[in-house]
Amino acid sequence: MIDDLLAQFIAESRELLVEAQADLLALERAPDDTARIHRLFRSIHTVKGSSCLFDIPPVTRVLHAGEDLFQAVRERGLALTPEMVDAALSALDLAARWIDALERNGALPAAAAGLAADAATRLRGYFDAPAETAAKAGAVAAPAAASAPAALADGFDAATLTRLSQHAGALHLIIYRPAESCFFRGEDPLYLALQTPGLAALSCAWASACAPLQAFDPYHCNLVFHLVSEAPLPELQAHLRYVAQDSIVSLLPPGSFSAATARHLPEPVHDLLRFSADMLRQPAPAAEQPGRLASARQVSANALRSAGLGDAASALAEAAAAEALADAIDAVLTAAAPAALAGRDCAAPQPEAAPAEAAPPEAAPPEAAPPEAIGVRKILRVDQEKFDLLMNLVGELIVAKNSLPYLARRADEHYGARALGREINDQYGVIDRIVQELQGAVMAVRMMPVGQVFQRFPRLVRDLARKLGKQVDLVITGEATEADKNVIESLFDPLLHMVRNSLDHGIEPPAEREAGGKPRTATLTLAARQDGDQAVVEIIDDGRGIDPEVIKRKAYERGLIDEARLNSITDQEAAMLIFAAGFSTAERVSDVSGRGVGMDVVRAAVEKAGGAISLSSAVHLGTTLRLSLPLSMAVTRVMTVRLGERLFGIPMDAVLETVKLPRDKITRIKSAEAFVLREAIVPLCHLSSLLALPEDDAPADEVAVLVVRVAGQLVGLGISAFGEVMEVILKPLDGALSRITGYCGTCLLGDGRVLLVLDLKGLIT
Amino acid sequence: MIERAGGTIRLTGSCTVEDAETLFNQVLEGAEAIDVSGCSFLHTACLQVLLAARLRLTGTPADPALARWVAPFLQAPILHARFQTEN
Repeated sequence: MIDDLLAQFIAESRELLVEAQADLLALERAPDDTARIHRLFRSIHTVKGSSCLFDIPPVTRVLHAGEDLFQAVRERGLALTPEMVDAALSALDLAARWIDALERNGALPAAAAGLAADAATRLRGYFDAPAETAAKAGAVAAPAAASAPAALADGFDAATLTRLSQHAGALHLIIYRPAESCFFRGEDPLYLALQTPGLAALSCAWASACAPLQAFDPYHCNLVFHLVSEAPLPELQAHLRYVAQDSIVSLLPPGSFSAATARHLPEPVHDLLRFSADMLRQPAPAAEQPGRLASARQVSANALRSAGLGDAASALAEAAAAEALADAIDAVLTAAAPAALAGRDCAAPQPEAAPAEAAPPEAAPPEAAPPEAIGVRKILRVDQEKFDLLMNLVGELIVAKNSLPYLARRADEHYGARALGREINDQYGVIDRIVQELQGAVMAVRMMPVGQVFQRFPRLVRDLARKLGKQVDLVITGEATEADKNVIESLFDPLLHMVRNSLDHGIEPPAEREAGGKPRTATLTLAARQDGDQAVVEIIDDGRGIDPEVIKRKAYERGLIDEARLNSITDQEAAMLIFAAGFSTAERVSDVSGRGVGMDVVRAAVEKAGGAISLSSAVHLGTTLRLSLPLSMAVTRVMTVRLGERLFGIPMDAVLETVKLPRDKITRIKSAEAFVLREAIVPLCHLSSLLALPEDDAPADEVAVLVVRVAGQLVGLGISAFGEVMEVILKPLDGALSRITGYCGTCLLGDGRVLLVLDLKGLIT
Repeated sequence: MIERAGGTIRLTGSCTVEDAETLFNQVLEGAEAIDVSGCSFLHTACLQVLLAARLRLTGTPADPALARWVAPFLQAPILHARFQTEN
């Protein structure tokens, strides 16, 4: 139970802290965004509130300070400076780190308390806070026991008051003034009020004068509830234990309500009665008298009934003459007069409750969470491991399914049961369709928006830009573009490298930009979109661009290209050299980038994920890096090839065509072999020699050649025979096997054999 | 849920704390009446908007507790007036 709660807290807090960070960054750029500051406050408030449930005071303390800071920003117009944002961001980082530690070790690091104190002090230094004593003030500032009888007449309609006055047993009056910020804590005062045991009456009023509609804030709780309950005090206290500071319970002596009933008369009713009585006393022509009397009686009786004073209304019916009716009305008015005046004060009970700063420590317990939260967010949080298991099971189901055609063939060939084989094949068709749908459904669940990765960048870009003394606007588009979870996860590191590179090398310092006639603030765009079965992510900067001449010279100096290549290389090809291993053009090594690792690592990572990278750049205008990745990596199409008795898989995206090559068409060039394919010379490699396996004993007249593209070059791959194309769930080699190169993974075949899938790039280059 | 049918704002099913903002925006856009008959759950934040909106309310909430305890002070014209005098 506790573990579940903790797990939920961890997951939720992470999400909220990420959200808070994003809001904080947005707020730094647009300080007037009130919706943001509210949301930011709410996120931090929620995490802080739930953190009280666990024994992690440092988290609570840091967040409390953050919350107070943002409250000062929100309510006192404190201006956010970059330093404050730095401090707040590092406080959020601390909290996030501790929550990670909590998940890993079940406890916070020993130094947390000291760090928390420092961080809180640093945050509090930015505003003259009511400090942490505010938390204690809540208890002291509990609402003074308002004189219950004065408040009684207010709120309840006359019918209720009459009913209460007839109640025999003891009654308790509860005045419940929820904290103004209670909605942000997930409280629902009305729900709490309605759940009150023995509820006998309920009413509510504005706690302080209601703002005009335009300035009204629906999330600022400004209500006070008056409840009357028949339940005994301990039961009420138990019910109200989490809002004890916001509520007072008082015992009502029997008979409290009879007085209140008599005095209760709402203002409009009072005015209407007054008007009727005055009208009746005006001299009028005799002909009009009956009509006037009837209408006055009608109006007055209706008014009284609407106020729940049915008895008084019937009393009026007995008055036959105008004068008698006027007197009867006067009598009602006289009895009610004090209440009518008192009602005005009571309607707006003095803000007796604690001021906002003095809100009690919000140990929002789970029981206090509004139950409507269930059923509203129909999002299921599922442990990723469970999901991976599901995916693996689907993979195994596919394999099991694929064994049915083998079975059908065996039934036919081995047992001579042709009809049975056909029936198995029919059933296979049905199962195949269901499995495909199942696979599609599981894959759809695995789809994640690219935004999950993008959301980490505003912070990164901000911090880097500040460190490098550059001004950068980060623009993010297409964050809703979806791709498989694994693809999304493999995207972060390459993106990080590329963004760092853009910031460090691409974007110029403000002064240089200004001199070049550009705005001081550079724009860095992260744009995602779906293009067919590929997810395309572009990193676009408007920096200095890549000068192909500089690249060529550097590449030559570093021995990456020879002189001949230096003269023949195109600008486009030259720009791509930044992805070559050992290439770094930075004049000095910074801690941001420029250690000569980076872009080649990026390319390797992207290619490993089955993607490609390209680049276009114009000097002074900027650079666009384009990543394209498959939407899904879970299913790979492979072609099986036979080499002697062995079977290997080759990823289909590398295969261009299959050729049967007569032996005499193979040309020997020294130790290498090649052949001519449509007037181009294609080198020929034998898979057996690449894998150091024995050659075929009896070389055939023809060689089966698979023409593949490896690293942009055509290569012919000599094999024994072509197999079939199939969709497989590729499992990477891991554990002790992970160091073996030349294979990108394994999969199971329908007959239970393991198929090794080749990594051609690793084998050939 | 907050729905709109011409000049009437309709509360249906659960009206949660998130719905308060929608409801409030609907009120700001202008409406003649609010129909609460389909409402089975009313969060305090929504209640507060109803009270501030000062619009004619029609229907009785579907939820018995809301119908018994909340509807009377939502609908009594006088109490409603009492809320209006605060502004």
